[in-house]
Amino acid sequence: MNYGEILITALLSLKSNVLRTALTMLGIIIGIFAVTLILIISQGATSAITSQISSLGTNLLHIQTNKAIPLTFDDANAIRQQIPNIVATDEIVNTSKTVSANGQSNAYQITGVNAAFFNIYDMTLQKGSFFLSDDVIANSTLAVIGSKVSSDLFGTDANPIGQLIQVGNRSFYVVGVLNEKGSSIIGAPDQTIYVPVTTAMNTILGTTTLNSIDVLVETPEQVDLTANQIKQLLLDRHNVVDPTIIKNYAVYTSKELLSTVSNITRILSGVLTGIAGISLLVGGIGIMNIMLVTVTERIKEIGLLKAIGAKRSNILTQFLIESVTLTVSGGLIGTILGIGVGTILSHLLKVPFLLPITSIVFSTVISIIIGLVFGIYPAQRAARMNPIEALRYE
Amino acid sequence: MKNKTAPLISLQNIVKEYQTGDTVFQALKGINLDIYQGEFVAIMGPSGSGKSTTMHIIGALDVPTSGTYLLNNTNVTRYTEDQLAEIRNKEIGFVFQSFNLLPRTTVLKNVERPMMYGNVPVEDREPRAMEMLKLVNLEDKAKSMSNHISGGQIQRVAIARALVMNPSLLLADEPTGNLDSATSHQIMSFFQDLNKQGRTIILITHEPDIAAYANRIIHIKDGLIVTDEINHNVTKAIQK
Ligand SMILES: Nc1ncnc2c1ncn2[C@@H]1O[C@H](COP(=O)(O)OP(=O)(O)OP(=O)(O)O)[C@@H](O)[C@H]1O
Ligand SMILES: [Mg+2]
Repeated sequence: MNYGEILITALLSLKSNVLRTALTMLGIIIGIFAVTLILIISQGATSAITSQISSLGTNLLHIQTNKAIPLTFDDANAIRQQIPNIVATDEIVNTSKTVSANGQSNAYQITGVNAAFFNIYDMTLQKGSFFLSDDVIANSTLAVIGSKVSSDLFGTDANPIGQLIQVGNRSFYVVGVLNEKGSSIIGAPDQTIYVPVTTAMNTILGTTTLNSIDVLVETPEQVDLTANQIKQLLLDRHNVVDPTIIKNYAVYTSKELLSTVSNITRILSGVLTGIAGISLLVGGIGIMNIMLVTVTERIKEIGLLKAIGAKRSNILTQFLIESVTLTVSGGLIGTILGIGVGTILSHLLKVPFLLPITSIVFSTVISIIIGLVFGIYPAQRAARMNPIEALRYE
Repeated sequence: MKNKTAPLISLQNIVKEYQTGDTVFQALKGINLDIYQGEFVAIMGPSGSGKSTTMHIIGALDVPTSGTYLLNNTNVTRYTEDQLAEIRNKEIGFVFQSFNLLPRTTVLKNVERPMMYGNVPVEDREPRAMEMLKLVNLEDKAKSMSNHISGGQIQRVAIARALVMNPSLLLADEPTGNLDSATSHQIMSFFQDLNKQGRTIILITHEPDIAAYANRIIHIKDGLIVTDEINHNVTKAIQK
């Protein structure tokens, strides 16, 4: 038997009923389209987030607060004094407040930081200057604002340096405007107002608890050891003995953050792939249905083929190739559509577009499997047909 | 007509029963028939008498309920599906009354198809198919789609296809049933030529003037052979 010839025969018979062929393939097209698109977007997003995290440096530790162990300034000081190999630390609090200035009013993220923050996160200024360590110690009412905050409140041309902004019932002097940075894993700096952490805690929030402490370590190799030392120090300082709290208490490293992110995208694409899978299942049942119809329509033809010497295996192969041709064509169309829409969407979402080679291979394999699985029953029915009954069928 | 050699076909007490619900219907009630290499046999009989059933058994499309069928001295009664398919492919050529050609493909591909199942090398198929089409004077229609040719041409393509594997036996079940009289006689002269070249032909027909082309005429009634005679008055084909 010549498979090329059977393939041509299969294509011809599919061509003979274009509309039906197209409708039959729809389920497969949608399923494969969804799978391809999901893979493109999640790959792009993962790579974008990964490069953001990596750009922060793999020698950054992120200590998150925990209800059982509220982080304080004293903790930050203890870390600074007792843990070796630390380059810089930064205490952070976060809140959101309505901010008004220049007759404009808007809600923004207010982040209290110390002077090291701008250095740790590679922030750059388009105007003015950062506040300094002394300003933080002094509880100064100074603010460094994101580019979007600046343009929202003061317009694009005006110079906000030295202007006052009202945060809650407190006024802050704008000392610096940041360059545009785009949103990233650390938030949306363009839409954030940075104030000294002391001022934020004492006058805006009225709290003694930090949200987090960032620790910059000398080399990436020291990160894991330092993370453990800090964890132990904090547990000791807060006299924690409850083993479940100890177990759940984590000091995040950039590396761990990366794996958390990829876990989240994995779960997300898992769910979406599940939905795509259902579409493929429905598509497969559609294929089976149409193949059963095709077999019935061609009973006489099958009888004739048997009369001229077709064996069961010949008939089986012919119909299997036909159903696989259906699903693979559907899969190809879905892949092409997925890549097309994926290109546009990655552009809109500003994530890098990566050609999903694995997804193309995966889709093709899945299409072939669906064609075989759902084509085998109709094909067997055709193959097992009694030649006389088939020839007599009206 | 009888040769000293063994018959090409030997039906021995062939019975075919069909079960419909609780009732069993005997379509063939014990057919005994020897056909020799080179014969041209016409089978006649009323509708429902068992002509097609007999031909299906001879053509390895069906197996008898009881009795023995020797083809080329081999008992094929207990052959498996795939063995029967091989017999149909290599030993037998069929021409039916209708639905002879595969739709959606060309005349040439139709003639080539048995060679695909018979594992004939790809490069040999087209020349051999063209040779057969030449034999039935249809080489100019080789590239036509099978539904774009006339009824008489369809039957000639079917004959070409039936001959392409060079079978020992050509079976035709009312091959002229759908044709006008002139075309029928043209087809019959083809069969006669083929027979003169040494091919064994068994033909089913209702019409005496069609049967008259054969050398031997068998009458079947109610599943039994009633007469089996040599035709002393063979119609001579008009010379082309
Ligand atoms: N699958 C079947 N089930 C039950 N009865 C059948 C079946 N096939 C054939 N028969 C019966 O067997 C008998 C012989 O049928 P067959 O087709 O051989 O007749 P025939 O001589 O070829 O008739 P015709 O000239 O009309 O073609 C008929 O009575 C028919 O009804
Ligand atoms: Mg009949």
